[in-house]
Amino acid sequence: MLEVRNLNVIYQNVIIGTSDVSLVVPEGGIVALLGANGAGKSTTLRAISNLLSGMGGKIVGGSISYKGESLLGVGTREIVKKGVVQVVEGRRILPHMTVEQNLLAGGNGLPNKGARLERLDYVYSLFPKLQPLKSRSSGYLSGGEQQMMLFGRALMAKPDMILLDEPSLGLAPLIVKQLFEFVKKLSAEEGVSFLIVEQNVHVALKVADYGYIMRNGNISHEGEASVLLIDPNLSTYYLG
Amino acid sequence: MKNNQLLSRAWLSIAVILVLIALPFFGGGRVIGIGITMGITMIAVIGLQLTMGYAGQVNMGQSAFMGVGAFAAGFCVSKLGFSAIPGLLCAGIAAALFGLVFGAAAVRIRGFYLALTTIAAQYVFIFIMLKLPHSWFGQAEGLRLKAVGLFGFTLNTDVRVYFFVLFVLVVLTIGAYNIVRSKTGLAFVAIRDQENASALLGINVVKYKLLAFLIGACYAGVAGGLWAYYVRYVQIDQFSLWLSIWYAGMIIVGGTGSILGAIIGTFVISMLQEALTFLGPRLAELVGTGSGQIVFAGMNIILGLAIMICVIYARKGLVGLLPRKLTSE
Amino acid sequence: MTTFLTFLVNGALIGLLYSLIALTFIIIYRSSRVFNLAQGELIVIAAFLIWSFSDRLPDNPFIAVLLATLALVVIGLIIERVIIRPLIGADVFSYVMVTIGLLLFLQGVVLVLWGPEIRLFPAIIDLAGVRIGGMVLDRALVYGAIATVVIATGMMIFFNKTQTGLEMTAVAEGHEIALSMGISIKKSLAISWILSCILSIVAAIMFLNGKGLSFAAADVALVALPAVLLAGLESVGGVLIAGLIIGITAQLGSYWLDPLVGGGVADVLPFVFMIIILLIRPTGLFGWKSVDRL
Repeated sequence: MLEVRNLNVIYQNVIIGTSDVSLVVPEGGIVALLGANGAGKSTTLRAISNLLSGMGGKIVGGSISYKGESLLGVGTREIVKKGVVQVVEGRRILPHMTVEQNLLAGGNGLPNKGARLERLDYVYSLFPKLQPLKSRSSGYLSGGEQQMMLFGRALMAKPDMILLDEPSLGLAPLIVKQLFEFVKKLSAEEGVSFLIVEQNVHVALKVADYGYIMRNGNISHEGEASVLLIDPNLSTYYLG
Repeated sequence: MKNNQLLSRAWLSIAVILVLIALPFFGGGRVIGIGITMGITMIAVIGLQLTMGYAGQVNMGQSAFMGVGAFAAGFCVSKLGFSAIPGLLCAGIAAALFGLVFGAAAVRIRGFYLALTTIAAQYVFIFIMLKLPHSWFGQAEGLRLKAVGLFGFTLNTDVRVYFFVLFVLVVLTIGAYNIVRSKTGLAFVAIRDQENASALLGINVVKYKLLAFLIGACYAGVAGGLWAYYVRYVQIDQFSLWLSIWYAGMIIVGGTGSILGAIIGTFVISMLQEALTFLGPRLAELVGTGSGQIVFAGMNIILGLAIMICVIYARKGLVGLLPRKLTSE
Repeated sequence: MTTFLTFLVNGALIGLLYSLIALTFIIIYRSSRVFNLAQGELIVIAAFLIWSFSDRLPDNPFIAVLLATLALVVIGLIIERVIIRPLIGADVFSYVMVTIGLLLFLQGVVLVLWGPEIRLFPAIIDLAGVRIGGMVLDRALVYGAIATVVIATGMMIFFNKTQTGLEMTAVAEGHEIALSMGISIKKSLAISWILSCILSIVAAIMFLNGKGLSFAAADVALVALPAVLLAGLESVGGVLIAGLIIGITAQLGSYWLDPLVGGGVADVLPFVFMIIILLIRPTGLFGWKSVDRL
């Protein structure tokens, strides 16, 4: 469903972001993109959503296609409309807005207020813990609550595919577990596909179907998640 | 920088200076007058370049500093009988002290807010000058000076003032180049480009911010003093926010972060102003407003456009258009 | 006592004028994160446009105002597209200097188009003063003050409760986040400029009704800067309180200190205030501080 072929990204005309990266996310699948800091994982996600220019990056080779259509040169907004929504790294909430305002803002692609409120109810039903927090200023939520809200905000846009960039960063293990359970649930019940960038290898591979490991800008290894999980050489693919 | 590059630049500079020395003998009174004003402006603009272009501290109050220097020199000469050089020292020191106050603010306030602070300070300065005792600075009437003395000569002709200004300009320009190449200059650029990183590297950011304002203000103060000697009349309206903005504009057009840029920028804008003044009456007929107005309006339009175009499209200003050999920065 | 009260009330009225002008700055800053120092010139252009159209349509002041609004919106959108848009994400020095350049440019254009003479701004609002108690107040200021309160409240509701307003607030939070959520930055920019232009028209009427208009009127925007800072660059709600504080303080300062220093206090006090605010609390009373979680 999402196909990245030989992606080459450079930053500021000199720094290599990714080199010949190829990956596939099948419909309804959960794919993990792993690797150490600076390996090029976030770069790949940004390239898919066309968010590179803010950091001085650009795609200089390769292709990205979603459901058969190329995403190259397509604006971020269009990409969201096509159903690919990214939860960017760094827990980018809208800190001066309430939880509900965050969610509603995420629903900006829906045609009218009725549709938005309906979708909002749906998100609250998936994340009941968010409902009592709905008027709380999102800057004051805990990390786990914020991440949950970001999931919900992404869901408001009715995505078929969600790109998650380091969702577990800075969260307690129990919260991380809950988060990935949501991922599994959404995949199973709603058919949402996921491409998850993670540094927390084990948790990611437990949930994913397939994994890619990046190192220095290219894919150093890939395979079925269950196989990778027990592979004794896993750390070498990571660190070299 | 290679030795022959250094040498060729030295020869070029000497050639330029010789031309400037010869100028009064070939040009008329008007040329000398333009030369004096341009030279004074250059000094203030070079100072601003050090503060803004090199150290990255936004300063919209350079004309206020110049005013401080002008009033200080005016006071010292007319009320205390100082001669030219002590008067300039007074001007420089007074302005530098003012600059120190701004520098202290700059430590706490950054970027955009600093720009606003300097704008506000410009107005406060005007207010204070108008309210201080009449015997000090003349309030709204200002100060009048007799021609100031210099080593037994009196600077009572334009030609003499011209050479004095040229002399001070050359000295201060050499000084500016030395500062830029010194440890201080490097610290300035480090702070401009990456303030947080600089602090972590052990650069005393506070000290250099203070220095940036102190030096820049000092230059402006000296320029102000020279202005007082030339016009022999110092009045608060001469030092407005618009002047500060024009100075910043000259830096942008000439090239931010380059002493040569400051010089070129001042030259080009001043020449444009002269051209516009010359064409004034003809343009005024075309458009139908008074000729004085058309010069002011025309300069604003041109300068405004030049600033916008330079910042958006031509970051290095006019200096960026010169061949590499002539510029070292 | 009446004099004191008059100063107080006038301070409030003038303060609310500052609030309105501050709003024109704030609305644009919110959506583009660019502080447009040339905003004052837009208010002057608004005033001259009203003057020009009124001159041609002396019996239809409201049509004149409408036409002026349309013209100003077009000008504003052009400025947004050509000058402000390239500045998004640029460093402070860049947008300070570009907007200053724009200020110079616009001032020159105003001078060339309308000349330096002082014109009489049409009295769109009845010139008769409003009598309250023993005071006679400028009617345009009173109407304008009411309008400002209504507008500011309306803006607060807009940004907090409507979908478009929420999206624009998201844009104010950060362009990249908003973009990643599918929100249109361009739409936000356009709407904020249109709003700002409309407010500029209202401010022009409030400030100049029946009075002399010249290119120097742009200075009024500079005096409103302290109100912007005190409120906080993103704060639409705080702008009312901030304006009131600045206006009242300036007038009261004038009342007490003018006799001592020979006048001019009301003009300089806002700037003194501004410096104090910048030293103590640059983000203003209600500005968006960054919510850092440790």
